[in-house]
Amino acid sequence: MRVIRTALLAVALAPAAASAQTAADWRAAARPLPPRPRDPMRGFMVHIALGPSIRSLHGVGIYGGDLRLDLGGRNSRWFIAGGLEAHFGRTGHGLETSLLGLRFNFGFFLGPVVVGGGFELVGLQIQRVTSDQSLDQVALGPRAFVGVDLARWERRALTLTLDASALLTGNGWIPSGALLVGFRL
Amino acid sequence: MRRPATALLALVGVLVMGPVLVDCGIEASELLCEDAAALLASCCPSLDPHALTCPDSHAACEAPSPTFSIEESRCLRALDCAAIRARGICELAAARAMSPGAATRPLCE
Repeated sequence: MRVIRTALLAVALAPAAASAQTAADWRAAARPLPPRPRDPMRGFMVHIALGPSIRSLHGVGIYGGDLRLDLGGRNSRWFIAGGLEAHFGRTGHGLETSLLGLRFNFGFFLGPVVVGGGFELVGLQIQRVTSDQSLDQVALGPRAFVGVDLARWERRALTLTLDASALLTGNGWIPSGALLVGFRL
Repeated sequence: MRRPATALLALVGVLVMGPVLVDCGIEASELLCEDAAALLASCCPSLDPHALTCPDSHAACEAPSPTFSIEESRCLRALDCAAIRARGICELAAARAMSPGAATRPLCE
């Protein structure tokens, strides 16, 4: 008899218990989620790099040094940046060359490795030796790079980057490559 | 009606690509000649490079004829100073510079 009474009580109270559980679920769902931990690498980024470079125009090699400055934003996985590029050098037989460019970059952090690409718009100037004038060229094209962080201190890193580009001109193209040591913060 | 963003993109495209595609920039004949002249200037101390003439694609119609043809420029760039002096190219280039347009034997072939 007692067993039957207990069973009847359980059946009678089951809807109320279910209703209470549903309300608890709703309250849990309505409660705001705990804030996601902030990405410690997220923020402003500056990358300055310099190193030797080689370019070619109409089969004439241009050798010198490049200085590059990029400003942008990053997180732990990727970055996007824009910046300036300057070059000073000579052709193999001694014509003085200089270049100034605007760059747009994006890249991805894969552990200590950084890979990416972008495009650049440059003005190349080659000083004539037969007069005081110069040869001038505007060029635009894509670029790609792969780099490695040689050492890291939180967001800062000492970097080594291999960079290549293929710039389109009105009557040809300028392939280029550079090996750059830099500092990112 | 075009959207402002599309018009702005088109304007940026014209401003960026225009100079690249319209301005032919540096011609091969100009650069090869100047590079060959730089080589001669370093190999021939008595040769004044300002006395030499190279093509100028932006010059007026009456531009003087260049001291070297594009073939001679390519040939000269493949030589070193010893070969240039041994072939008497320094003297020949100086003679051409003194009397532009005069018929002389090829500088380099």
